[in-house]
Amino acid sequence: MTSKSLLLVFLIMIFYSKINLAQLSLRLNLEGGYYRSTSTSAVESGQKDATARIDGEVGYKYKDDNRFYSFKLRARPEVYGLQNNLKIFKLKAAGNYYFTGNNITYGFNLNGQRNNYGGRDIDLTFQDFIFAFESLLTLDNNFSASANLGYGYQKVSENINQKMDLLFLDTEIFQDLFSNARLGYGVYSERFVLNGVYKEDGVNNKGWRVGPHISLNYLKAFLANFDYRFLFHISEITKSPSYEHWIRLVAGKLFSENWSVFILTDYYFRKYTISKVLNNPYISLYTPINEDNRIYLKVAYSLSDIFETYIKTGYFRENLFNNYSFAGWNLVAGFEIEK
Amino acid sequence: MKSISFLLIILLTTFSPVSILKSQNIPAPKDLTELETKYNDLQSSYSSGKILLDSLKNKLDARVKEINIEKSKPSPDEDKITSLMANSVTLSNNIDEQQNKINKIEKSIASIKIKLSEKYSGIIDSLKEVRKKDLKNKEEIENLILFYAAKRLEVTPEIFQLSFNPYKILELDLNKSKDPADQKIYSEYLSNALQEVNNILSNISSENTEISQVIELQRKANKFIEETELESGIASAKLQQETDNGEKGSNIRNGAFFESDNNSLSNNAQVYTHLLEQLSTIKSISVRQMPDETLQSFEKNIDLYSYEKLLNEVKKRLTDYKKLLEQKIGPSR
Repeated sequence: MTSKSLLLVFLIMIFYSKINLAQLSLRLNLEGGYYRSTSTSAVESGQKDATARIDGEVGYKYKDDNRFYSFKLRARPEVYGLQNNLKIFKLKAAGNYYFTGNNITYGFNLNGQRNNYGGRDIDLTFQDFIFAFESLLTLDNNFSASANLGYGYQKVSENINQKMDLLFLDTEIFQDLFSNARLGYGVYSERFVLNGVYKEDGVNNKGWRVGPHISLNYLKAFLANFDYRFLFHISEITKSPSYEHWIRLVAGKLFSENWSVFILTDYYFRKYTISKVLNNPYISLYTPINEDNRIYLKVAYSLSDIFETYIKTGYFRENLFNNYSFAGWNLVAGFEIEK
Repeated sequence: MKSISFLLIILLTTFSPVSILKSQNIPAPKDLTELETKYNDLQSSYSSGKILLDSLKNKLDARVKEINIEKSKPSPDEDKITSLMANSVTLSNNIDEQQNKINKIEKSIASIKIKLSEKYSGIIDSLKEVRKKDLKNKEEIENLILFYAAKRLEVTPEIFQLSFNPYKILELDLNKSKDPADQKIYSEYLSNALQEVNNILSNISSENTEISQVIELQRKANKFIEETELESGIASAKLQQETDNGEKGSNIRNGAFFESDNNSLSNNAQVYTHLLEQLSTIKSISVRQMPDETLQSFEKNIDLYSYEKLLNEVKKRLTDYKKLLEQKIGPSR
């Protein structure tokens, strides 16, 4: 429902704007290769098999003197294994609308996403929707500040449902640290309400996620980004100490007009100390998707402005709902067409 | 005499701007002294480098004259000419090397001037605030404001512009004057203008290459992040601003902090906008519609994409102007 509403809003937006084909974008990725699962509950551990993925996106962008808006729709079916396989289908619709002035940029962001995981031992669906008001104030060449205020909704469906509403406020200050390097630091705070959880027990959960984050971005002959976030987790079913860490490192370099190399590392760790005796505490706990551990290396070769081939390898661990997880190594080769 | 010297020392030690700033509870920027020292060092390197460059150019001129004299003789000494020419090549290489050094120093000086100007402006603004409240020391604060205003004036970045009037120079007509001396002066004037335009075009081209690479690097990095994670709104709401291919209104993550040769984009953008304004006086060049970005103020909020567009626009117009100049000089140049 939420994805459909989003689509409708942006189709109306596009309809009433001047359509220009140059503002439309298309992208298609096809990749395939080999994977080996490690300690995981979504498929059999130690499974070695083939994997394939299609990732397609259609987008629209518009920009004039003082506003910018965009919309994109993205679909990604993927399969792990020829037999006893795990099929994942991710669908995302996103859009934004910004006003830009000399010193300030502000606007809103809309996102809707649906992820399906289907296999021998798993049938899981995530749906989420988020609406955020974002603003950025640039005070001088080396100082800017941003504030994002938003509402989010998430529903996880397995044998049972988990629904969550949240309100968040994210503030960040950016300063030049040294030449070509920018430091960002701020505070993220979020109020969440889990409801409809395990109706038989009538268990609900409310709580806060609050903490600092810091980022460092370098951009010149190569790119290096570092992000770190630490959040205290305070809820009705957890007690202190409950917290989570998230670290991201991204580095990349263009070695020539055609060759590029990128590496991405995400490390997520959380420790929630349960204070209540529950039949199944996992379903009452905060369950964000996309808080995964992963390390990926990509070597790409551009054959033209629109066509690129690449090899990608890495380790991934997706932490799913109700103690489900999916982890493994893979090596894939693929190509991308982008217009 | 001794008493006057003593008085001067006392005055100098008590009227230290930094000590007065402290007394007014205005913190002097930490790296101000360091920047000023660096600026002075660069200025002296620039002066000595310029002297060396002039001396090398004079030597080269002398060699060229010697070669011409030898060539004009009824029976020129070929060995001498060869030796002189070899010497001239070495000198010419030395001149190029020295010119490059000076160019780098000039860029560093321009960069420090911008930083110093910002620091002085900050101090002046703070002093103006103090002046409103501290009526007792008003005169002292006024003097201090003047002191820093003078310093700021000294380092106010020079506007990078064509040293000649681009419109007037096109009005020159070599054929109108029959005096060979006049014609020679006109011709040299046009050749120098062409050389200057070529130098600016060369700088823009190298900067454009750098900017394009940085944009491509960032675009590919953002794409890599997106394709790896297919980000979720819930989990990464705070991170969405970095995962939109750098095309959204916000410029936090799309390289606003990127500096080209140690100059911030906004400073360079102002300079190039001024250059466009200079060229816009020429009708045959300015008929093309100005891009939106060039009409905006680039004081604080420019991103890499707009900057690249601006560079391309300046390059186009300057190339058009170069063609007009070449046409004016004619095939005889």
